[in-house]
Amino acid sequence: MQQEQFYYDNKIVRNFAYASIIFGLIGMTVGLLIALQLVFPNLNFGIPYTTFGRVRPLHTNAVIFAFVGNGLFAGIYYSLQRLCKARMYSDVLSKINFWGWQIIILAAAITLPLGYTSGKEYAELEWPIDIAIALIWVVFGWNMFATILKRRERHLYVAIWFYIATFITVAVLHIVNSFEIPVSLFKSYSWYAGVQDALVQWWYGHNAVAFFLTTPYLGLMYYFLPKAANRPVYSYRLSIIHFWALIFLYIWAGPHHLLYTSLPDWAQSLGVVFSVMLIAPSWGGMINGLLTLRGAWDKVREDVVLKFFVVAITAYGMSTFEGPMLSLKNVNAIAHFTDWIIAHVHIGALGWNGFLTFGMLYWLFPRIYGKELYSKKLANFHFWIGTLGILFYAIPLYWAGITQSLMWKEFTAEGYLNIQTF
Amino acid sequence: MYALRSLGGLLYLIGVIVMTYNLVKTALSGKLIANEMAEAPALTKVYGVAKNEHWHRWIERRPVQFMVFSLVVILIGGAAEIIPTFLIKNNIPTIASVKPYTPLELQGRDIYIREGCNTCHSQMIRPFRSETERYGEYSKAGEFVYDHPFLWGSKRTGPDLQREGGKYPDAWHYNHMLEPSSMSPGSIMPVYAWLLDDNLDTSSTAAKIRAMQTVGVPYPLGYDLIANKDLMHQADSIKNTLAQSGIKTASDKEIVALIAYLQRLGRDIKLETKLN
Repeated sequence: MQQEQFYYDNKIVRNFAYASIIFGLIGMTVGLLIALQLVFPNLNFGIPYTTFGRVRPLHTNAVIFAFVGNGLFAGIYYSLQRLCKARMYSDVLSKINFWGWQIIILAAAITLPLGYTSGKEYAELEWPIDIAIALIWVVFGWNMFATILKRRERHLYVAIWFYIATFITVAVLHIVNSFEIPVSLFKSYSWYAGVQDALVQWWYGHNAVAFFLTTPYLGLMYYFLPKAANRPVYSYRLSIIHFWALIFLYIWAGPHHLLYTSLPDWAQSLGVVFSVMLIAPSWGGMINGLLTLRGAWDKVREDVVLKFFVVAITAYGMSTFEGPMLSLKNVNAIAHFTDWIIAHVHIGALGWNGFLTFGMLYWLFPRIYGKELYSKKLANFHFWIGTLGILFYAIPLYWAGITQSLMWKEFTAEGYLNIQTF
Repeated sequence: MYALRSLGGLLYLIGVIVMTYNLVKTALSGKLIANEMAEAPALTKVYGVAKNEHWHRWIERRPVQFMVFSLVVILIGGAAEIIPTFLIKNNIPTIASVKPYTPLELQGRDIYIREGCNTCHSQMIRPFRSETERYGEYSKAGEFVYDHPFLWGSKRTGPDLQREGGKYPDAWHYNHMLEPSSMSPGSIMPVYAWLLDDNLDTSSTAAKIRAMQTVGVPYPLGYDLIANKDLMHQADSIKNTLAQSGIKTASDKEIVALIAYLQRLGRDIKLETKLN
């Protein structure tokens, strides 16, 4: 068997990694600003560009597409090459993917504070940028798939299954939800209206969580966790069943964002039922990840990368339990429109996406720079302050969410609303 | 509570800053292995398959089929939920009294979208007594047929606005946008003073009407050519109402359009009750 010599491209990994870090810092700082605006409304500064309403989508787009987006590209470009035993198909496509994505982020940073928005959550960017996203996403998929086709490892490892599902589903979701009629260069109206627009929007919105925030990161977990722990994945069979069940069930869950709204009852019920079923494949992923550490838990004590991964996977399990609970109509009746939902989002975002990204970066940098991590102590400090941060973030918001819900629902003994001023 | 959660976010951010420092120091102390060498034999065209190999291995060797099959799997749920919602008309029962927004209201709606009002305000009254007592009749599917995009919202930092129309006089809204806490003590809503100063861009009205017509909103044919006439007429009447409350403003300010939109919200079904 003739050995072929080839080279993995680490430059593109480094570029995406730095972009993820920089936009993580920016996106989280913007998040801090808008959180403080709720405490000190003066921080809206009295000008249009910095008001909560315009800046909140800047935060969400930055942390989802710029922080997590660049993070998943970094992890996929690193792991895919090694799982395929092949260099990326095209360095040119890699560069277009990278620079195209950063230009999109820049366009978002400029247009959103200017008020150019579609008004649809996580799909606020106006139509020219939507087109750019579709094009760059196709470039990414093409580069990735062509690499898979020229692989030297015949069988696709489970991480690659998740990458393929990510690519194809995000393409479908983005294109269908972005059907809009342009009015001018940066203004368009959704093709859909009312109830139908709501259904398409949350089919998209929930599956942005599923296929942008979850499936690529499960793929990354399947690569980086066994690598960091030097242990095999717990169960091949479990990975098969939870992969196919996850990608099938997740799509149906969209209506859980629309419970007790004007969406038809039958669609709401489907959303509830499928959201509850979703616990199984989600926890399948969590179980497969955590049990991979069987026999290696002593390593977790010593290795900060594994610490981040364990908290990440646990947070994934927590939010994929909480999500289905919030999808029960009686729980949803309490939680919808309150800060409870924000708490739920951030367990997943800070815990699962954030901590998995950090663990991955701490593992990657020494390897691509050929030098040990500068300071284990600082990394451990990060782990503990980050964990504390998640707790201080979520617990007050659970309190706030339930409090506001109870206040909204409170009646006096005579049968009048107790709090009239809202 | 909001202060505590901000502290949580700050702690988290500090962690990321520390990480950045750590990783940059790592990078600077080393050298990027830009191209990392590896060796492996190419795949052979012919290969043997183990006798009792797991059945899933078949598709793990076939990325094209894998992608196609994944595509089919993920399309099912969307098709099952979305197609009937579009094709079966009685999912969204028609309400005869619901009419398209007027040109001025449409412009106002676009200001609402631009400023991100739906980030803090919902427009969806749920069928609970606590909501109908507070906001009015719960929201019906047929009320939203001309809402491109829908603005049901996801969060109530501020109150629901779906039946805001007619609740307060025009002057209330004028003052509220200028300084929310003047009308709503303790409010954390930002000030929107520029809406009172900035002129409404009416040059976009015709294009907006035509766009709405394209997506099926039943404005009369040729309405785009006369839409601004109706717009100015409605704006003048709001200006007059404001003047009666002692507020002097020109008709072509953005606040007038926003007031028109807010005063329209949720009123169409009340018309139906009146007609009956």
